[in-house]
Amino acid sequence: MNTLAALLAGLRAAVRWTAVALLALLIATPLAQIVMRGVFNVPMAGAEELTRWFLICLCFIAASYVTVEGGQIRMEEFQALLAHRPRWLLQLGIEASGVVVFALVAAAAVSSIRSQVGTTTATLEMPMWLFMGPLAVGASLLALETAVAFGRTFARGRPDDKQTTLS
Amino acid sequence: MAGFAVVAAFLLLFLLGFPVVLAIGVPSVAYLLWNDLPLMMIGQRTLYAMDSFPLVAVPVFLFVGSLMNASGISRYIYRFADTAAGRLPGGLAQVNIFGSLVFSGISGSALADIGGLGRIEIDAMRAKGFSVPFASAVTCASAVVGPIFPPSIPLIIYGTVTGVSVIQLLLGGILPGLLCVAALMLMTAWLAWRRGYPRAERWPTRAEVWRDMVPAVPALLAPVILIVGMLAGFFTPTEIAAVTVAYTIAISALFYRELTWASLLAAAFETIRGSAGILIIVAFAALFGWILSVERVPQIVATAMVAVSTDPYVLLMIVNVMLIVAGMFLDSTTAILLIAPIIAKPLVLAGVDPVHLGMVVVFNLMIGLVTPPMGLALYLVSDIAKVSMRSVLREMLPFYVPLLATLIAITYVPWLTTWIPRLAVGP
Repeated sequence: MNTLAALLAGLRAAVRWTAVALLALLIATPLAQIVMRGVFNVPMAGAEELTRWFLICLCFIAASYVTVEGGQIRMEEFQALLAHRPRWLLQLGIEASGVVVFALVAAAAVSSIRSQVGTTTATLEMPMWLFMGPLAVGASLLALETAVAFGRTFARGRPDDKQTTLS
Repeated sequence: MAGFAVVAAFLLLFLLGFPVVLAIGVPSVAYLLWNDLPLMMIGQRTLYAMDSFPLVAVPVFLFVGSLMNASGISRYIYRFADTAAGRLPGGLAQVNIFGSLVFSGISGSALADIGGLGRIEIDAMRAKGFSVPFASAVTCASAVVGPIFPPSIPLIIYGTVTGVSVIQLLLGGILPGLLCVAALMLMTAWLAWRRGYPRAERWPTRAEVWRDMVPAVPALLAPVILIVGMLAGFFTPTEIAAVTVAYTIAISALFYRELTWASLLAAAFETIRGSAGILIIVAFAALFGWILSVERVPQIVATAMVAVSTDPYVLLMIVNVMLIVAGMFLDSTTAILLIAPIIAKPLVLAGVDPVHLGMVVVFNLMIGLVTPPMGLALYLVSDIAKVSMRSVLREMLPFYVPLLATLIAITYVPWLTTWIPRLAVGP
């Protein structure tokens, strides 16, 4: 159990720091492009495509971090009106549906990657597995974190006192 | 019919407390499975939505807002606003509105404004004897300006999903933002006159203005760089966002010297939480939008709207009512992603300028931020000020008048939105 918890903590730390690195790259790449274009008159080919890929990575890989932090945008005002037991069951239902949906998305991403082996993106000629990889990884992480949340809600036997999350 | 069932399922799940990403994702995946469509579609649609350069500006501008709060810049902006506007009738309430305008010229998010500058403003107003619910209401109402005056996260998202030029949208927000500030200041002055609110005892001397303006100049220059950069066509919105981050870090390090590695990291984590929460919805909303277009929902809605009238102003009135109701229940990102692609086509066909429509949509949804039951700004300000939402709402009532007046002006005087973009980049 301790090993599992340690693995999970390590995974979460890796996700957090990867997201920070991606945010830094997301800012640094357009800045580098401005300098190269404006100062040296040598625009970086593929800078825009690379930045878009960093955005894709940030969106999907950091999504599980948002789930861990309880930051997914939601409104729980109506749920809060329910009695404890139906509310607990509803939360279990939400988390179970999350596991299923994210697992399906991960499977769909893997399937897309397998069907496009050998193809590359237009400008950077990035292999398709690398381009679509963040979706597969991110959806898998989301499924894992939602499963962990489901396990916790189930073990607790009562609803979580979450509140509407502000975006 | 299946398209409307998917929409109904989304609304039901959303009201039940499903995270928006699942409220969109569950019916969308169910639709694919039910219709025996390939699940690979999920990967294609979600990645296609994220493969967008203008969308990169969303996390980057969110980072600017977090950085400003982390590096203490918000405090310098507030001090300058206090000196410049503290003598106006309403004193610190006017300072609150003026400060929000300056902050909005850098951050682009209403909630970042409330979370950063709002805390300082409410504390200062409390100390000067203003009622906390009133201070919270002014903070809430003035935060509406944040996503109207450039930069603006909702306008960037709107431009991304509808294909309208993000630069034109951002420039289009300058006059409506200023108009909204003027209307809010007028209402505040009237309330101050009626209720006898305190204000600074005298106008500041030139030396006092200079003393408080000089430290704020680096921060005040940020919106200038941003607007000039866009007007001159030097940068794309994404590049401007990156430049603003670099500039904010530079002035934090060179002038303000309050930004530590720890606060920089905290700002980064806050940004990642906020932006990934929004972006994952953008990704899944693309799949949802694709399903609606396959089911011809936009065309059905367009036909129904045009059957009522083909007059653009009547259609805009319908849109206003629709969006104010939507804004009461949906957060702005979700509402833009789901509603904008549906209403844009009939309105543009009826002759409404796409940039004008974008401003009408976003301003409506920003009013939704301060309207119950799902007024996110109301929740946040009540939480910060530790007052009940009901008491804030009571004090908010007069401020709906200038907000709605601005909405009417934006809706029925299109040049307010279109004049500057046309001036800058042509018709």
